[in-house]
Amino acid sequence: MSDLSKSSPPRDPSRSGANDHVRRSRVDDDKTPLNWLLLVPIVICLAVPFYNRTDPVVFGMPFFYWFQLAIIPIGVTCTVIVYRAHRRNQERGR
Amino acid sequence: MDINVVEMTVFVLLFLLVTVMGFYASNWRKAESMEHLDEWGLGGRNFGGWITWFLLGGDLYTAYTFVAVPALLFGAGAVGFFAVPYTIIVYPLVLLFLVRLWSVSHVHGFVTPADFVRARFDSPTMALLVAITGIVATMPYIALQLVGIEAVLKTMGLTGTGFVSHLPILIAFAILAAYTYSSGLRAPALIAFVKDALIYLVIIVAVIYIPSRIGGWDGIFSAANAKFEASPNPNDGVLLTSGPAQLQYATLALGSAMALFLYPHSLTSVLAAKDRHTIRRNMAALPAYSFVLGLLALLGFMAIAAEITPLVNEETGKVDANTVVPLLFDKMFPDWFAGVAFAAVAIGALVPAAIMSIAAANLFTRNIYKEYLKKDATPAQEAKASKLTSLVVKVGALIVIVTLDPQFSIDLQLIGGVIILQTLPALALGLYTSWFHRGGLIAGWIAGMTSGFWMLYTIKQVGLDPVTGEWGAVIRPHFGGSAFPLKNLGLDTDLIVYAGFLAVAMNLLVAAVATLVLRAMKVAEGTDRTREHDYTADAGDPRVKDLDLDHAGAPGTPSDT
Repeated sequence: MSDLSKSSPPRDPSRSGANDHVRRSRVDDDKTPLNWLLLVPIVICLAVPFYNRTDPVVFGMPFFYWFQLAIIPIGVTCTVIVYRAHRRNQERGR
Repeated sequence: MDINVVEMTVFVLLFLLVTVMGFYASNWRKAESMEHLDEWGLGGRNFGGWITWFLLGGDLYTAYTFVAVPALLFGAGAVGFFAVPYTIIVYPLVLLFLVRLWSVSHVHGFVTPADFVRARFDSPTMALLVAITGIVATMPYIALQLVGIEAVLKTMGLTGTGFVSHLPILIAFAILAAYTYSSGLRAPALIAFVKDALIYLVIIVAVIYIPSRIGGWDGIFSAANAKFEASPNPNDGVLLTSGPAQLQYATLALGSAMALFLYPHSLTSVLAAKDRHTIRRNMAALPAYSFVLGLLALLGFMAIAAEITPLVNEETGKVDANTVVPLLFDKMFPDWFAGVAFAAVAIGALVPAAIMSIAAANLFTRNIYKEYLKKDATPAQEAKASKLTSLVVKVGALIVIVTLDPQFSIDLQLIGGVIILQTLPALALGLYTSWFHRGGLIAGWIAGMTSGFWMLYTIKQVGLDPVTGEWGAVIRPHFGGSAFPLKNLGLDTDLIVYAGFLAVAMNLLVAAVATLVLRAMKVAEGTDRTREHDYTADAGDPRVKDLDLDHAGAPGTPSDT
């Protein structure tokens, strides 16, 4: 999703010299190919025909219900991986 | 009236506790002065991970959700479970957008989403449209929080008609209005701790204890299945019944997820966070609430198995499905714990109602009052205007609930979801690109709103014929839901799509075409006051200071980093 943004560093002639090294090291912290992982929970959630079924039943719960609850930890895992990558980028940039 | 004294006592005690906390909140993380929107309206813009988690959780998962989602499962089955994929999709979907919005707002001192649109597209008009859309979409949402409280009060025996029946709500809202006025966003932030602790406690107890009393999950799902098999409605069931129903389920989940963080109250809680990292971490941690919501939704099936019959609204004579969860608690739990559960729902209504009224008030102050009525307003005057507006907003919501059929608020909220989506091109896409022409955005907004209203207007609600008892009678000819059958467009298909989804597609199409036309005609474009690196700035980052200097004198107060 972050690919939508223009990644070119800001060009402002009034700000040069001492700040240059700072600016070069500070690219968008949020840019990482791992961002694609964010699509995983979204795509699974939208695959309704796949999970709109009763079997296998677990603890008396039809697949439709327990599977959607099970997507939650999948989504959390993907989001955590992405935010840790962002944090690493940010720390490296400082 | 037959009031349960134990339930009522526990309920009132917990309510008093949060009242004291609400007033105390003005001293919590105390600011030098509350006479500034950054303090009153955004709690000092300095909330860390935990506070933000409770605040956003308290804000997004409202009391109305807690009663209405299980009520939907109780009535229609699987389709009501869309709340789970909806709240799974939303966080990965918005993570990257929100972090950018936080940065640019932090650099420029934006308080509302409309502030951002104004600076990005140099268009006070588009900002006004975003502000009005936000206020109109939020108002019925506040009113619905009252529906949540009323469902609980009715179950405790406070039934009746006329003015007296609304007295408890009036008192609750007057107290809420008073401490929101004095403490601002700090009040719901502090109360959210109690709200969420109670909600988690009640849900954990409910999903462990209730199934054991009514034949386990097996028994619950077979009772639900039996009910839907026997019902003449072809569209209810423990599973989604058809291909079109599955498409509607997916588009409703995705469309609702796209709308959630366009609501001003969601963004208020996001902007109150202290840094980018707080937001990212919260997007990973908030699904804990989605899990609770999923379990809570299943209370609707438990209510079927426990043979709950919803109460009838004495004023309108209609069945009030929103009472099924309170009734289930009342039947299954000992009185004292039912009191705790009811307090959880009622307090769960206060937190979002407070944040929503603050968000609506901030929009009014920043994008209407300061923009058009008093251009030279000082920060203290802005804070005062917001505080007063928050009172007006709550009184408005109260009047709507007391004087009109609650169905009116439910219809409005349905419309609210569709119209708030019309701010997506300017707000969400605006965070990534300033390609759209300001005139194109306005044209797109008009197209999206018009087509959205038209679609909702044509949607019928079909149900049981009250005379023959057969399925297929038109119960409501208009505004009967948000599921738009494509055959209303004259297409030969059974497909059903969430109306908001089509409306925003229309909006984008018109905005893009109008942008190309306006650009070809060389109509003046505004000056984008934001720069690419504003969108990646973080707290303590030298860029923020640089930009503060650069922007001294520019519209929007530089933020106090």
